[in-house]
Amino acid sequence: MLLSIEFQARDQLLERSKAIERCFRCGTCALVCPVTRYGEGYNPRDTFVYDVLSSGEPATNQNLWSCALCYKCYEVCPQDVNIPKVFESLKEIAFENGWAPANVVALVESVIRTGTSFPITDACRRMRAELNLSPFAPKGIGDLREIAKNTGLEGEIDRLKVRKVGDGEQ
Amino acid sequence: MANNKYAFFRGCLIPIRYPHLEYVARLVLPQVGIQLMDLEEFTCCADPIQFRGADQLTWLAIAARNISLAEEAGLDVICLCNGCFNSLAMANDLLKKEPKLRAKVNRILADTGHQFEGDIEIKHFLKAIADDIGIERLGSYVKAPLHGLNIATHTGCHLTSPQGILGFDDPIDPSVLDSLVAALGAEPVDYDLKSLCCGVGFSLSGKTGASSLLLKDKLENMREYGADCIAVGCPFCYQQFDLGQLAASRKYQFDFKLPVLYYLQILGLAMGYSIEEMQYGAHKIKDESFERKLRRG
Repeated sequence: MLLSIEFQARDQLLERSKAIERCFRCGTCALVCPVTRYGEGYNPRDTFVYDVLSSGEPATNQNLWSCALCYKCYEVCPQDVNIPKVFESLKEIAFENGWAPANVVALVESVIRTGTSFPITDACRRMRAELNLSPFAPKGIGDLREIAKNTGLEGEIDRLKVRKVGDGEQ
Repeated sequence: MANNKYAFFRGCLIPIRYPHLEYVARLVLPQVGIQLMDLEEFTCCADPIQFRGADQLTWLAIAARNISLAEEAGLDVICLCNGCFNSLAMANDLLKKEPKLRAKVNRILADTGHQFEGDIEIKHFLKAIADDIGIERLGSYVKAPLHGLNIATHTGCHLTSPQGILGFDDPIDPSVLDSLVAALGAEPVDYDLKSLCCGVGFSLSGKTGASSLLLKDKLENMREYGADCIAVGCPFCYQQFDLGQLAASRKYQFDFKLPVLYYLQILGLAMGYSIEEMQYGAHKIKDESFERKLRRG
């Protein structure tokens, strides 16, 4: 493996995505990565992808959450590493261990408790009324609670120790 | 006229923060033969960036439930947002291909009374327009061709990638949205940074410095190639080019303003609606020379 990934979670990550072993540090991903191009402290040699993957414990690296999963790196990678899948896996490890930023935890909680990612504000109600649009109030929130209970997310979200993704995953 | 019925997936951002875009969608789409059926039980998709990263199984089950509602209604889904489209289309693809995973998700869904069957398609509204009407026939709806209006299109990342699954357009060199604005008589602008992300991820995570720096490059490049305005098909890109431009403009003192329009607003303008009727009043970034060009037409 040419991309030196020596950290505690390495085996855990390899289980989820064997393709990381194929990276030969050509840097093609850096050419299209908006985080490398505009994120503070990155340049074509010290890229966002290497920053995260060469950390001692990459799932604790808060910069991980800057990845917007735009998939540009996936589209151009000559080695089919599937970097977005690696980053998703790292995010999941981080979430399970309580290393996710507070705004991400709040987002996840908002979705399972209210059915939306954003709060329905008075401004929203007023704008909708002015446009003669009916009030926005998603139903089906009870179902989301059932889902979150069955996946283990509900009840555990406060403790942030969530179940592992089991068999059946790619 | 095409007459296609879809389950109308509004998402969260449009109905909550940008209801004027929902208003425009409800006004314009039925007139081009795309019928929108409301399913009140739809919830957040959930999002393909942070939620999918944080908990893939719950993300998949929530998407599967949304898809199953449309299946029960016997309808394909139409989305107004790249994020919703990406989540639902990727979940739909994954669950159709992986029987073991589908069985697992259906066990999770059992208590809700819904089951994923895998018998519908998920479409972004731009794809629905391109497929159901077709770029050539789109011209038959144009009453006020947008001649002389130069538009920089921004297709957005989550509508095109991963290309192998979503199959909408080339993510590195997108052209479908260009064809869709050209069909309305406007002139698509062929700028260099077309496939560069809008940067809304930076804004949403509080990295306003990176957001503004990215927008400076992208907007100046659009302007350099003569753009009068920007076309998008996603409310997050819309937010970035509207609110984000406001912040970037304060920081870098741009000597121009590039209004961003959701594609359906542009379609509405070409169908003869005024910019006021297309809810331009709700925009933060407005530009007089852009407005003059439209009124002259």
